[in-house]
Amino acid sequence: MEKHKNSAGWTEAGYNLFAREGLDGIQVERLARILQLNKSGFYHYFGDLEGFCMELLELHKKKVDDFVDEVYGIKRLDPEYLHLVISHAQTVMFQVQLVRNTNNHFLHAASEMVDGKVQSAIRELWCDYLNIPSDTSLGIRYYAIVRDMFYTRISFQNLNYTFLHKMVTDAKSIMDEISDLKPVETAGHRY
Amino acid sequence: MEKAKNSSIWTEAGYDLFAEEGIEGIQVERLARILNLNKSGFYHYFGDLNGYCDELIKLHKRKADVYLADVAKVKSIDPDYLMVLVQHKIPCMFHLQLIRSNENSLFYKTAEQIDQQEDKLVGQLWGEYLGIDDHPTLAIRYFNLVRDMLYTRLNFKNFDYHTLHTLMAEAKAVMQQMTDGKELETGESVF
Repeated sequence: MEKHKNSAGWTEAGYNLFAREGLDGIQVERLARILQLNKSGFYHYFGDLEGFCMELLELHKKKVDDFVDEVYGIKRLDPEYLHLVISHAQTVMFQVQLVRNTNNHFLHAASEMVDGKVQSAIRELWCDYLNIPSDTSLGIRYYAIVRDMFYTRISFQNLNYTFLHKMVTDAKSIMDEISDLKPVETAGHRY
Repeated sequence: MEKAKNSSIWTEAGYDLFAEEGIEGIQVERLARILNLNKSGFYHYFGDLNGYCDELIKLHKRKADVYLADVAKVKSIDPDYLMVLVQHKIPCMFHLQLIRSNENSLFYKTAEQIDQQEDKLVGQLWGEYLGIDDHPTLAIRYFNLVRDMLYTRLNFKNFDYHTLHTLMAEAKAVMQQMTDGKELETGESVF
C-alpha cells in the first residue's frame, strides 16, 4: 500500500509536468526536487525513464476513461461539453503534448487511441450541435479538422470557456455558410 | 562586419532548434556545444535569452518576407502553393512553434501578422480551389481553420508534397460534402 502510494506521487507530479512541457519536461532530478524525495525511489519504482513514461500513459488512459464516461452523461456540446473539457484541463493538455510529440512513435500511437475514444463519445453531441445527421461521415470528418485546429491553438492560458465557445461557434457558422452556398437542387421538392 | 557574421551563426543554429523543438529547445549551453563555441560569445552578442529571442524573431520576419514573396507568385493552391510550403519547411515549422507558444505575446503577434499577410495573398486562390471564389471572406475563414489543422498533422518527417496534397484534398472534400447536401457521402475519411 505504502509503495503504491509513493509511486503515485511520482506519476502525478510527472503527469502535471508532461501536460505543461511534454516529454522534455520529464527529468528525474527535477521531479525529485519538486517532490523533495530521493532519486533512488524513482529508480526503485520505475526502473528507468521509459518505465516511468509507460506509467504516465497508463495514468492518462485512466483519466481519459473517466472523461469519456462523463461525456456519455451530457446532452449538449455547448456549454456542457466545453465545461467538461475545461474541468479536465490537465488531461486535455497531456493529450495535446502527446499529439505534438511526433518523434516518439509510441506516444503518438497512444494519442491516436485516445482521439478515437473521444471521437466516438462526442459524435452525437457534435452532430446535434451542427444540426447534421450523425450517420454520415461529414460530422466526424469535420470534427477531425476542428479538433486539430484546437490542438494547434490551445494552451493552459486560453483553455477557457470564452475561447472554446468562440471556436465551436466559428466552426458551426463556417459550416452553415458553406452549406447555404449551393442549396441542394431538390430542396423544397415535395414527395 | 565580423560581429554580425559571428552573431548570425548563433541565430541560424537557434532558428533550426526552435523550429524543431520550440522555445524549450533553446538553451545557451546546448547551442554553445553544437557550435563548439564559448558561451561568453552568446552573452556578448545578445545580453540574455530575451535579447536572443528578439533576434530569432527578426530573423523569422526576414524569412517570412522571402516566403511571402514566393507565395505572391503562385497561381494555384495545388500544386504551386503546396510546393512553396515544402520549399520553406523550416520557416513553416518555426512559425508553428510561434503559434504554439501563444503564452508569449511577441511570438503570438508575430505569427498573427504574418498569417494575415498570407491571407491576403492566397484568399482568392483558396476560393478558386474550393470553388467558392465569389465568397472570399468565407474562403479565408475556412482556410484559417485548415491551416491550423495542417500544423497539427505536419512534422519534420512527413512535411512533403504528398502529405500536403492528401490533407488539402481532404479539406476540400469535406467542404464539398457540406455544399453537396448533408446526406451525401463523398468518399471515405482517410482518418
